[in-house]
Amino acid sequence: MRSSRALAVPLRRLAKGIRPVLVLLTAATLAGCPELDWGTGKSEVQAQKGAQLIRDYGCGSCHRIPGITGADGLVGPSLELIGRRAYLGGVVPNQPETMVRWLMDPQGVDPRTAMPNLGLAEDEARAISAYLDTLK
Amino acid sequence: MIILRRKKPSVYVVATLFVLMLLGIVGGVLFVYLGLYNVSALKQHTQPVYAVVDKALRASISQRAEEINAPPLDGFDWQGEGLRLHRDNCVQCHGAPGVAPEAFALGMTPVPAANARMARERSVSELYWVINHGIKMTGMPPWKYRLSERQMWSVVAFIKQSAYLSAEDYQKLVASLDTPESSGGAAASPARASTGETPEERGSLAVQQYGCVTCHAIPGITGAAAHVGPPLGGIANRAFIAGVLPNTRENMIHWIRSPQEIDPLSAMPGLGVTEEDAENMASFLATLKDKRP
Repeated sequence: MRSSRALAVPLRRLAKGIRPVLVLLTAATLAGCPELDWGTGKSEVQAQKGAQLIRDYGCGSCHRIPGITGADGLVGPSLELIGRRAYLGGVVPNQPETMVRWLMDPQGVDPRTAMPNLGLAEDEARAISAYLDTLK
Repeated sequence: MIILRRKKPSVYVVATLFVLMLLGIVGGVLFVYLGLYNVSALKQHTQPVYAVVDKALRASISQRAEEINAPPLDGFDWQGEGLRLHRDNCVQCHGAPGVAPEAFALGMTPVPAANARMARERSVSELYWVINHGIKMTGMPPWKYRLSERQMWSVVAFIKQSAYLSAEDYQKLVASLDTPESSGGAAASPARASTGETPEERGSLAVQQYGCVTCHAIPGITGAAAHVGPPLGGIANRAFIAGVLPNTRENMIHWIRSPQEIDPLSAMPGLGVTEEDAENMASFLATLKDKRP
């Protein structure tokens, strides 16, 4: 009993010391980190955001996507190594800009494609594109 | 040597090693003189041989390309000189956006790399080195005595730029050249039906022979590791072909034979595949079942 009480004091101090750090981290996460430009770090944050959006929009119900649990759809092509793929939808050269366009408006790129328009906002499409670009 | 330095070298060990060495030499000589290795270009090397040769090829090129000082490519006329030289000398084997190589090139072993793949995966120096030097035993000739340095750099500039061209963009650029000429294109005469016991085996061979491997990663096919188009692992279970067409056997045969009839914008070129070969290919593709992780 005595030993646990003796431990309690430094633990409480530690908790107090950590609190501002935690608050800062939470704030940064909530703000979506737009101002945290750490070079490669930014694209990593973007990619993580993209991975979450991929889960939220259910891309995995049609595509197999490495790194996304449960993404094993067989409607469209597998997205393994999509970062290396030369063409998107078999039609348009794969670049960050065309990927964003394809994600936001598939029919604008290929009127015949079965890929649905999910109404993504541009920043969402950019984040998803950042994640897909890591698959190479 | 280590064995010999031991205090009591076992006569048996030395004798065994000697016999094994002798057997190895005799085996090697017999392997060569009896013609045991199959040089038929109908079949790709075995996987281990392919892996070693491919590794040696890549290492050799990247080592030597390091010594090249590449000039800035924006100084070269990729839309004019580069495109024209590429159309006249390169498309025949490597294709271009939406344009298939000629029939003879599809049958080569190794099959020439797809232009789209080189544009994305090879450095500027590597492209220049290969154009300049060629590659032994692949059919790639050295252009050193055929083109000037400036011309070769223009071709490199075009190849790099072609990574950003859709099939439509490419057609427009070619049409804008002052010396139009029919470029590349599918085989005019039908290829002979491929050999093999079952439709699946014949299809697997046809997939190799029509150069599908230059653009698609295909499980079970040696050397098929390109990512120009989508990987074909699990294609048997996929709902759509090319994201456009429901995946039935008839549709697959139609798609293989004339992609542009199904999607005019597709970058996949028509390869002059015969009905019979397309049927066999569809049978082979139907074996590529999805493996759930």
